[in-house]
Amino acid sequence: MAVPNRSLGPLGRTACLAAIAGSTIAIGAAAAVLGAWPVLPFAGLEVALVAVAFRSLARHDGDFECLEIEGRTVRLRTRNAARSAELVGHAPWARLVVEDGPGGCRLGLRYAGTTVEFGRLLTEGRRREWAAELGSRLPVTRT
Amino acid sequence: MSAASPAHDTHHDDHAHAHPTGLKRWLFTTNHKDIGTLYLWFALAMFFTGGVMALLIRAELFQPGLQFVNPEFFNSLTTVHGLVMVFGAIMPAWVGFANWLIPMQIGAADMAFPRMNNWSFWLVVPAAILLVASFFVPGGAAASGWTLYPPLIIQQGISIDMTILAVHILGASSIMGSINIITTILNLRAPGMTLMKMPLFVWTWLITAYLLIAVMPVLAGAVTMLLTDRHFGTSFFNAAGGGDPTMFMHIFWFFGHPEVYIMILPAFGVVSAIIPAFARKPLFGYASMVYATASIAILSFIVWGHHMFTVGMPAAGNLFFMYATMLIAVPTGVKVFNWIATMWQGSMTFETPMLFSIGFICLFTIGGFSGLVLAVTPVDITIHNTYYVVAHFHYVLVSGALFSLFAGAYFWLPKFTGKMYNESLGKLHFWLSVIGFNIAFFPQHFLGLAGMPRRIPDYALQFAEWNMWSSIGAFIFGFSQLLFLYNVIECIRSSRKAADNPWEGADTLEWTHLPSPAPYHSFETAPVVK
Repeated sequence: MAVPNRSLGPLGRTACLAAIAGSTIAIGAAAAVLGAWPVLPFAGLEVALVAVAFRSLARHDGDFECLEIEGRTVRLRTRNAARSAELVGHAPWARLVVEDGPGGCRLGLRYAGTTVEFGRLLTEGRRREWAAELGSRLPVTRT
Repeated sequence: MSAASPAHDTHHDDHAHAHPTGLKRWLFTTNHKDIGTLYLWFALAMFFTGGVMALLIRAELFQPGLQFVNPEFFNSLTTVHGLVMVFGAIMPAWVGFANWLIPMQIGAADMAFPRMNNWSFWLVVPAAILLVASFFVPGGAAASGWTLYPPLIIQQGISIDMTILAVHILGASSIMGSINIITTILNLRAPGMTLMKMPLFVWTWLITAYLLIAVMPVLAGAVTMLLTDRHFGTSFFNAAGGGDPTMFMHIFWFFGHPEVYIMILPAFGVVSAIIPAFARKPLFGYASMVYATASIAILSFIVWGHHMFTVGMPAAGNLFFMYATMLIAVPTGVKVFNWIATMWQGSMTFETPMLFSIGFICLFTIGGFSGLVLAVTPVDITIHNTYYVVAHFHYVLVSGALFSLFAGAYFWLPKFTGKMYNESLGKLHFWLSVIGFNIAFFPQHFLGLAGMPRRIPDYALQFAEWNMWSSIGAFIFGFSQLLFLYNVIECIRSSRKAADNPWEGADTLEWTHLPSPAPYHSFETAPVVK
């Protein structure tokens, strides 16, 4: 099971956004009341940018990759932002795909014509370690 | 098979395994260390650009009368010198340190938004070009002072539009950088790295980033209003159309005073890293340092009026801003006493980073004291717009921000480059800088108290002697900075390998967990902090 390292949960993110939005909009509003209204749109734009940044973090809140081999069954579940994938198969017939390219090592699990990539949350070194370890338990295709 | 593994979020760092080379590496890099390096070299280039302007100013002021430049050009020099040093040198230098150090100090693989990080840097370059290029357009560069006060600024030529555009671009860059820093610090800390275990440099940058986010829309709004007053017939600041030039001053200084702390808070973080390392003791009063930093940041929002005691505020307003300004001395004093307490009975050694840090404490404190003098309303009314003010803010920003930048550069050069700098040359750089700086700026207190106004190319004979000394000091200080440039280049090209932790007392993650030089990709797996 691999999950991304996160030190800010949804609650913390909301609190942080509220603090930034509250103070920035308050300053912009005060300026607007005094006649300097062009400050307010800039404040709004900035808060929107922070919100977009936090939203992009939130989309990946539930990211995970889970690979289980129990007996003769292999199960891979992944989630990356809104995209989820699940592959359940007969372990002796599933293949571990190891792709070594200029961008580094990529891993995938192929079963019945479907390939699901995994190991995106791991470092290059850990991906190679996984490839070696899984290679002893699954047939391997190298590309 | 089942293994739990908290990894860094690779949707943000899918760049992690590409390692481009050549020009492409620097243009398209999303690596925090590369971007940090770009910021630091850019800041150094702008520091020398602004420095040349400063030396032109001091050459002109070496003796009374007009020697080298005409008065209009002199005013442009003071204006662009200020803008370049603030927005082109000091701020980008701190962002460079933030890029290099924050991910390493919190155990993160990179910044939260690496591509946005790249954009943040490459926005700064055209802005700087606009600022410097404004010298070469008809009418010359902006000559209103870095505060861009109307109505003067509304009357000048196209260079003002270039300056406004530059400020806008720099603001956008700062906002993107701040969002990146806040997100990185809050979201990508290694397991076990709680907020109150973060190194002080990270804390000071977190607070600085909040300050930037709070005040940048104010600056953007202010310069936009200048632009519409100039070109679209509005009268925000035009008294003839019912506007109020004083409103610009309020708005500008509401941004401008926190801006001073934006430049100095990271310095507190650097000094708080260096002094414990060379005193071989933990930082005294870590929690109080964090609270003091936050207090200074909060107070920075309610003291802007002390820049404009002479505009004619109600007495209650003057009193409020006077007392609020004095209040800042309390958290600042906490910091200074904590640094001294850290050194107390420590096994101190005095390598170059420590010398610059001690120099910072002594000289920044003088700047703080002259700030307290200026906070007293009746005194300020007397010496407002004199060289006393120039002396004050150079003691704060040169011996404060710049000295701590040098301290940080010498401290982390072994980690950045994997090589040791030349210690003797570093010490020579320090002593020449301290001596030159004090000869340049201490006499300006006397000049200000004697009534010499700032931003003038000529002056009465009575000010001649101290001006001569000030110019001599400025040239000593200015040329001694070439030693720094030489030392950095010599360090990069030398064969003196640095140990992973060349400083006995340094205990943050970049020293304890990473080799020297720090690898291109560090902490791909988050360390666990006990």
